Amino acid sequence: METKQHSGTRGAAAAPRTSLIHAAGVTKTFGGVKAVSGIDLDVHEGEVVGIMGPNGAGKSTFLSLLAGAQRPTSGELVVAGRSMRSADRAAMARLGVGLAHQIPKPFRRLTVRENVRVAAQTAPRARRRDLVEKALEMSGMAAKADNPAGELGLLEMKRLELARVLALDPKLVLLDEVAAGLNTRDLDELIALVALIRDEGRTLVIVEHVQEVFHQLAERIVVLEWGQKLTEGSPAEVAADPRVVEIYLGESSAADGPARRAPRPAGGPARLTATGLTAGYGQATVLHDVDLELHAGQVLAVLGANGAGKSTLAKSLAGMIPIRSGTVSLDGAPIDQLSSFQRVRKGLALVPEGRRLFADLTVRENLELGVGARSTHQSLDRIHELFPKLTELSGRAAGALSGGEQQMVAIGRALASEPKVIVFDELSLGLAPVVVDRLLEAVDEIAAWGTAVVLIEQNVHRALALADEALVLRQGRVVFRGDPAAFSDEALRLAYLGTDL
Amino acid sequence: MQLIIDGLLTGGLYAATALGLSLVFGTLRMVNLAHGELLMVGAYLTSVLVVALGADPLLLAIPAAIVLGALAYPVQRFVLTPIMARNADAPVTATFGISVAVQSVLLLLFTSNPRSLPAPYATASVEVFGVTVRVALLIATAIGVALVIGLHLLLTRTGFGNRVRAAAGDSVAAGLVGIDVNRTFAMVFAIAAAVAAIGGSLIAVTYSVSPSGGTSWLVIAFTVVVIGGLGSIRGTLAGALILGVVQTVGVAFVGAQYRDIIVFGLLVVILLIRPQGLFTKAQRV
Repeated sequence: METKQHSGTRGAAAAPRTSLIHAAGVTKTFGGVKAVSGIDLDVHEGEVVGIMGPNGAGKSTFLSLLAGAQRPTSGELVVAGRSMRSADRAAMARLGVGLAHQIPKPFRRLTVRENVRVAAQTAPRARRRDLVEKALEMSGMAAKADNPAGELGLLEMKRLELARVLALDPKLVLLDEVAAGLNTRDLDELIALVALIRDEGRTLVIVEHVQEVFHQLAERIVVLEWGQKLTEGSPAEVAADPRVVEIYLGESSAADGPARRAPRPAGGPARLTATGLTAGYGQATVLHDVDLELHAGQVLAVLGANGAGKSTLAKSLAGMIPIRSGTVSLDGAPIDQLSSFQRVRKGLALVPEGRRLFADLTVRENLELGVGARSTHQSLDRIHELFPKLTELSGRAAGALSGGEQQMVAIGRALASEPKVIVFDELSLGLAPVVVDRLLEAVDEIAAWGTAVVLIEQNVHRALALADEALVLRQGRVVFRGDPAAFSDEALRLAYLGTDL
Repeated sequence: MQLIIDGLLTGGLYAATALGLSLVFGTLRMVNLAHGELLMVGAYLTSVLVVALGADPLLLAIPAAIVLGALAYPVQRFVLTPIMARNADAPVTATFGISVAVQSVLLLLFTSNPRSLPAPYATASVEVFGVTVRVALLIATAIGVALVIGLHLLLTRTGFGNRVRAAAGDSVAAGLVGIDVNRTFAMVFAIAAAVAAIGGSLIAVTYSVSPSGGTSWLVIAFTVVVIGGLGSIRGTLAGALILGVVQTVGVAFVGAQYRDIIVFGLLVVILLIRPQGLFTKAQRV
């Protein structure tokens, strides 16, 4: 909290600040899609502005426009005094605009110092050496300056990425989800480093999913949705804005939302058990020590903000990624060493995020693929009863269907193996509310068949209404597990937008 | 007219020899540089069977195909797949290594002398529509067309074909519906090898084979596959017919010594103007 005060006093002391970013009606289209649409934004020297919003809101695109990596389709955009109609990245780097990427890609065989030196190419020759050494010092990488970049840990990679930006002696630092994948301790260190950069008087624009970063650093937050600016304000104002809450938690609050269903009996031994489940990608550990237990016919809702580890949980349950430690068992037998097709044959199916249908195959062919070791073609009858529409779509290519229809096929394809446990990863992502209603009804029915359901869902209130148990992830750890009814709106808001928990 | 018919029939043979390459590329996304050797080994297997059993070579190509398929399966399953899992580009190099190794083994076993499969129809000719054609090429074309149709039906009309197309389209999603992708891919490789054995036997009946002869057939197969669209089964037939005609007509005008230049030239031209092949839509990303 001290950091915040600091920025406050500095802001008050400053005379009328010079404008670093002036955006008026900035639009960027890809093909027919408006990734960024009519954004107005002014950022003055010394400010720290956060940009948040759900996946696909246009955050990274907007940042790449500011960095000169892409050019706006229309609208007025001036960064560091230069019109972005003609600027490119090298020109912006010379003007002191540096962009740090979510996934650092240093030259792995060069040393840390050599990497920073490469980044400093645009600086005047006389100052280069000083800038490099200062960037190394500030980023905390001086001690590792002679190590090959390829041997660095994740936090060090992020430090190096920031050092590469600092070597430009930037006026404006653009950070694209630099906190992604860090554990709590590393996150604190990274935030401290960014605070240090800010305290030098540099202007920061931060795109981030990790709310912690905003709460500690940002003076002002811009919320994007569908490429447009939804709102703008202090972190507290934004967190209290019902429209922001709606993006993150779904349209209705618990009070006027769908009625909570009667609890299902938790009969028999556990179907799916996970203990101490830890998983990640490369050097990032995304999921820490997750325990869960699920019985036949029950629904477990898995909730959490973007980047909390929900999809990683789904992938590690289904065998799409190897787990680092812990166990996963189905009906008491360990399955965590099996590959995904073997898990399907044991009775665990996943409806993956983005559906991943076989687009060239027909609906019928997609469904039939699921029929195999565990089931006969009779399983298809049940699927057609669940989604009668699939019968008429039978001969169509799966790639030609609408999103909702595709999701029905994806669910049907997973059900064709008659699984004991079915995992839905982001069931309603990108679908119209009326379609989502139908799909969630289907989930209810599937549970009524006696299938154990893991439901990873953006639409928090609807998921909770359906669930027998809720599990909330935050930065890869379970912060709540239990009766969904006991889980208040307040607790949810904290988990998603949260200050403290 | 004579030239066109000759070209089309040569193309029919080319189709039979290129199918295996096309199938492996279309499903495994792997350029099999040992494809030429698959053709040669298939021909030599048939030749060994002919010597032992004395029956018709094209009849004996069937057991040879089964044997070669059985030999190829473990190569994919236990050699190429593990290599692919570590580095997506490494299998191509591995198939080159296999190609060199197989050539050496063939050289040890059969010497470097070319060998052909004797058959009564190998040198016979018939008159069709007033044009004299070689019976062997006529048979090769019939078999080539039959193999194209057969493989197309296998891939589009059977459960196995659906699994292959699913695994080729998205191997991760295929695993999620319970498909054993590694075994499916090994099976595809085995089928490609079996088809290559028949193609190789057709080469030996029509022309001749030698331990090092695989390389030039690999180039022809590669050109066919590029013209027809990488990985498209039906495109392979079209590509083969086009190459057959262009080559035959070209040789007639500029001389046989330019045969390979015509093949390579066409390959380069197609890659320049239409890299996705003449018969497939541009690749979706």
